[in-house]
Formats: sequence, structure tokens, C-alpha cells
Amino acid sequence: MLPVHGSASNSFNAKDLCLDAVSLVKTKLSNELLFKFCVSGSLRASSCRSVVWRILLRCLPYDQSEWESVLLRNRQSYGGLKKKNITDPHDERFSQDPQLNNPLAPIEQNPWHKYFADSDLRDIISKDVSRTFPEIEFFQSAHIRKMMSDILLIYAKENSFVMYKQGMHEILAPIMFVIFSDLEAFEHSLERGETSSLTSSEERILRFLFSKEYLEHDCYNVFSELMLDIVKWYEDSGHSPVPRNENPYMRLQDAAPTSRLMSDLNSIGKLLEEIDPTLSRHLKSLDIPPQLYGIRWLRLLFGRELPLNDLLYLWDVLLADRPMAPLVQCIFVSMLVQIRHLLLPSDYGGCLQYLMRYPPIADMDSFVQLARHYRNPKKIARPNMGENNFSHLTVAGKNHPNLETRGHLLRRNVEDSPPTVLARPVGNASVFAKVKNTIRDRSNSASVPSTPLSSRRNKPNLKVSTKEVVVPKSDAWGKEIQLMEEQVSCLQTRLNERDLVCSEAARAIENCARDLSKGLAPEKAESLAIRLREISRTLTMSSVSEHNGEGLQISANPLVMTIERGREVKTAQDVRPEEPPKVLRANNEMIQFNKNTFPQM
Amino acid sequence: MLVLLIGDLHLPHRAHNLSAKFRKLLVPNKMQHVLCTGNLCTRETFDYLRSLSSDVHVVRGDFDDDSLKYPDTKIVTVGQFRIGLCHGHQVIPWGDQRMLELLARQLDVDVLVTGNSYECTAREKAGRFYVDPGSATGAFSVVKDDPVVPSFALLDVQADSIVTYLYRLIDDNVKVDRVVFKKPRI
Repeated sequence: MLPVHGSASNSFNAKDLCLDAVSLVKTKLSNELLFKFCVSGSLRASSCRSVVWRILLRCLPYDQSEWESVLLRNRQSYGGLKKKNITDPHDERFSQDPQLNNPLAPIEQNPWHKYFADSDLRDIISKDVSRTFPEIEFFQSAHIRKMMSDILLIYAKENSFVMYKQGMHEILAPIMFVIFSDLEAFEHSLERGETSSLTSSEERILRFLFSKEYLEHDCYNVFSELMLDIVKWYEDSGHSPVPRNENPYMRLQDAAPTSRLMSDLNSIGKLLEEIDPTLSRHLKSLDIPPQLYGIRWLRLLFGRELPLNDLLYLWDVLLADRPMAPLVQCIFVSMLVQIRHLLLPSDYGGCLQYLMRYPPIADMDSFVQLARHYRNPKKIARPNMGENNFSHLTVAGKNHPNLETRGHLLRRNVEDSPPTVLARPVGNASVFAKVKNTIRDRSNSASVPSTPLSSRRNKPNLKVSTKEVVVPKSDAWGKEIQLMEEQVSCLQTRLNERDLVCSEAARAIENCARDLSKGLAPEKAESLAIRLREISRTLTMSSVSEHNGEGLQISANPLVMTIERGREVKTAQDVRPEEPPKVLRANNEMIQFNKNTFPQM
Repeated sequence: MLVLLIGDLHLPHRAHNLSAKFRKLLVPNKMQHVLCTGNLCTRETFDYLRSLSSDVHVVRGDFDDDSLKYPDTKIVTVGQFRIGLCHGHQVIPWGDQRMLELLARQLDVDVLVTGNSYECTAREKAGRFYVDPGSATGAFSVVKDDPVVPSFALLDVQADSIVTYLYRLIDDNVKVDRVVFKKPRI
């Protein structure tokens, strides 16, 4: 496995992925290791999620020994930013002469000027901050709110090209939550003495890493790094919007994308069309483009669509796969595919309700796997899942507004299941489709369709094959299954032929019996005996080729003319010489069928 | 949080307008609250105060129209502070310190704002803070012989302290004084 040193190597291996502060500082961290942590979901129970995020966001280096210096530098730079951007007129730096330093003084160097200039922005920010996650107590404390407002204000002033936009507070909130809870967790582990196994330098690093007084500094650092990835969705369109008189009936989605956000949403629409054409058509016919509901999804990184603990896991996966944009698109699409059984039977209003108040996801793991599957369909298998949403709820836990209107729709089943065979090129899918087709064609041509027995036998055969197609395995498996299918179809053909021979023989015997009952002349008895012997010979024949020859013999025999009166038999014999079972067997290295392998035949 | 204290304007009876220097200082979007100790005398004056801040509180002065139904006293809570507002002509004898302290205790306020003295003062007594913004227009007083100095006050309310700025117009120059009141620990 990965190089692990120190005493933690026992408690820490790939099997039980669990990262706490002690193992964190002792383990040699690498990209693959962190990726495994993030994707497996083991960070949910970890007390070091914030550190993993910071490493993934390049706020911290992989090497623990460099942490102290990097942290010190980042924190100092935030201190400088704060001093620069947040003006407090009561600060000692300013002249304390009331004649110069008073809120109304009209002179230039009055610090209050800057204060008033910021106050509008500060008002907007604090209004949003006070509405952050109202259901979580952590965000209600004035201390945390003050920190959040300061961070957002400084970010807005430092990045004047975006300023502050609604939604940024929802990005900051989970970051604060994660960093703060890791601080708490570390304090607990200190109290319980779990850090006794550490050397003094390791403990010093950890104490410096988890220091409460720098919560705000660290949050800003992580926040600004994360914003690098998603700030493009917050930017305004640089140029003025398209002149209105150009086409007054132009729809939102038809306009040329004026910002990165809009063009990304357009490409998401295209991706959806590729992955799930039915759903895409449905939404298009209702005039619901991603632009209508997707702005919030992208800007908040799905923050409002998921409960916090699931959101954190989703972010783990997102951060592990940077740059995030492709995976975000895949998550977007898989969120839609997840609720397609709700969307397809809904009308405009119902669809919008489901999209604006996304029903909570029941199984987060398979959802994430679905998203990763779309991201990388060749590597990651599509999870086998059914309905995965609590369609009667909203994230806030209230009754979903669609609940009343939907009663009858719940019972109605959507006929077409989600696309199991992907639109994205997957090697297996096309191969399987081919196999299925060839089997059906072959059994139609080879077996005699009118024979009731053979057609009954055909059915379970086909069912098996479709079942195989539903769960695509890796390439090796695909070949194996393909081979087996062809063998089965070959066997089926031979079985059908055998059935035919049997029924012919039965009729011949019937005729003999009728002749016997008419009377028993000695020469008649002799010919009857010859006929019966022939029939027995036909029945004991085993190989197809011999049988074919015999069949011709039988038909040549004038006594068996009665048999040929049956039309279906005739057609069967007409078809049989053309069918290609022999060639097929030669092509695929299948087990040779002959007398020795199946003597009873 | 900035709170403007202003009163005894007596427009248009005793003065024709607020001084230009003051009007230049008093601009919108700076003060969150305006507390007026009364004697506006006209609706137009009230509208002017409304233009400074959307949150204006007025108590009744002895020259305000009864039909306006201003209350005699009002209590406004700003941050951690309870601020009591009263014109002061009801407190007899006028301007008596002990009677004002009694009123402050009655209202149970941290800061008592009164007018009617036509003099801008701010003082602390026994853990309470008493502010008088004076007359903003310098309107004459019936009980004062000296000319009245136009003045108003501005409270900068912080978490545990109030910084009071007293603005006086002396010889057509604005003079600013600062008085700090710290909330006593109980």
C-alpha cells in the first residue's frame, strides 16, 4: 500500500479509512490517499475534514513540517487585509481630535468617510449572513456572524471585479462549520489525552493548526481558494445585454450567453440531452431550461439542495476532483436524472416545484457514484438504484408542495426506465445490443417458430440475455458473457431441430399404427417393419449434419409423404439448409458438439 | 450606530431656517435614528428630519401642535442602551438636575435626552447619561438672557459605550466636542 510510517501504521490502513488528528500528522499524505478518503465518504466521521480540504485547495502543503510556516504566512496576510479593508474610526491609528475625527466632518482624511462608504455593502452582507442556515444553531451566534460578515466584506473589497454577490455566504458557511467543528474535535482529543503518542514537535504543529483565535483567518484562506474555482459563476456579464428590440419574444435560453454562468448552463443542457434525451425533451417542451433553476445550484454548489452533512460529503468529492467544473456539471445532470420519474409525469408547475425545492436524496453514496459515473463512465460503474428521493419532503423537512397535486401520479409508473445503456459511448453497451439482436435473429430463422414447444423454450432464453445487459460488467466479463450467449443460442437451435424430428417420427408411427389396424397382409407387415426401423434410426441420430441428410431421406421415402403434408414442416426443411450454425461454431471457439460430448443426443 | 439628537427648532416662529453649515453636515444615509426633543412646530420640519433617516422619533414640545399627538416621553432601544426622550417642559422646575434624574429612574433608561434648556450639554451621573442637544436653530429662550448657540448632538452607540459628539456653531464655525459614556458593569 502507500508508505505509512510511525506507530499509527497499525491503526491506519486502507481498509478502515479513518483520519483523526493523530494519524493526520503521522501519515505521509499524498494526492491518491486524500482522494480515497474523499470519495469513500470516510471524512464524514473524520475530525480532519477541514485539513483535507485545505490540502486539496492548496492552502496547506502535503508536507506537515511546512505547515507552520505556511499557516503563519497566510494568517499574517489576512491580518494585513483586515486592517486595510475594515475601517474602524475608533481605532487608535486615527487622530482622536473630535474636530477632525467625527462622523459628520466634511474633511478629506476623516476615517468615517470610508466607514460610510462600506456601510451599504456591510448592510447587504449582514442581511444575508443572518439568513444563513437558519435551522443550524451554530450560525445564529453573533460572534460567528460577525466573522462571516468580515470575511465576506474583505473578500468583496479585495476582489472588486465581483464584489459581494448573494450566495457567497452560503459557500462560506459550510467552510466555517467544518473548520470550527474540527477545532472543537481537536480540543476534545486534547482533553482525553489522545495526543500523548505525539512527539513535541508534532503536537506543536497540531496546536498551531487548530488554534481558535485564527478561525477567521483560516476560513478566509479556504474561502478565497474555493472561490477561485467558482467565482466565474458570480461574475457579471462584462458587456451590456442584447438590445431588447432585436427579438421581443426571445426566450431566456435562446439569448447568446452573456456570462460564464449562462454558457456553462447551456453546456449542461447539452450534456443532459446526451445522457437522457427523454428527460431533456420533456423539459424543453415545458420550456424549462437549466437557466431557470440552475443558477442557484451552481452558485451555491448545491448548498440549498442538500442537507448540510450530505453537502459536506458532496464537497469532499468535488474538492478531490479539481478543477470542479466538469464534475459539477455531472452532478447537476445526475440530480435531474435522479428525479426523472417525478419530472416526466409532471406539468410545468410540478416540474418547477421539484426543481426549485429539490426532494432530498435518500442514498447519498449511490447519488455520488452516479455523478462520478457520468464524469467517467468507463471507470466507474453506474450504481444500480431505484427511486432515491423522498419526493414528499423538502430539504427543510416540510411537506413538498407537489404532494397534494401528485396523488394519482404516484401510482402511475413511468414506462421507460432510466436509460440503462448510456448514451455516452461505452464499449459494453453496443456489444450487448449486438448480441441481443443476433440472438433474436438467429432464433427466428433457425428454430421453427410455429412449433409451440420451441417458441416456449425461446422465451426464457431471451429473458436471461436482457438481464445480462442491464448490469454491464467490465470488458473481460462482457466477452465471457458474449461467448456464453452464442453457445446458448446454438444449443437452442439444435434443440428445436430435435423437437422437429421427434414430432415427425411421432406422426410416422401414428400412420404405421393406422395401417396395422386396417389388416395384416404378410408383405404389408414387412414394409411396416422397414418403416418402423427407419423411424427408430431417425430418432437415435444425434448430429445435425446426419440428421439433415436423414431428413432428406425421409422426405424421399414415399411412405412418409403424409408427414410433408404439414406446411410448417416443409418450411422448416426449406430453411434448414440455409441456416449457418456450423459456420457460427467455427467462428467462435465454442466447445465442439458431437456424439461423444452428448451421447444421449 | 449613529443617533442624531436634535430639537427646539421653532421653525418658522423663532428662526427662518437651519444654518447652512449645519445643513451641510446633516446628510442622509449616515444616521440610523433621529431623536427629536420636540418644538419642531411645523410638518415641514418633520419631513426634513425624515429625509435624514427613516427612523424618526419625536416627543411633544410646549410649542408643538396638540393635534399632532406626539407623546410626552418615549423610550428607544439602540444596541445595548435604553434611551429615554422627553422635551423637558413637563419637568418642574425647568432644567432641575434632580428632577431629571428622577425622570431617568422612572423611565429606567441608560441615557436621558431632554431639551428645553437651549444649551448643549452632556453629563454622566450615577451610571446614567444626560444629554441636551440644545436648539438647532439657535432660537431664543424665554428664560435666557444670553444669545443661544445653535447646536445638536450625535451619539455613536457601540457595544458597551456611547461616544457623544456635540456640534456647536460658534462665530459661524462648527465646533465639535466629544464625551464618552461607558456603560457601568452591573
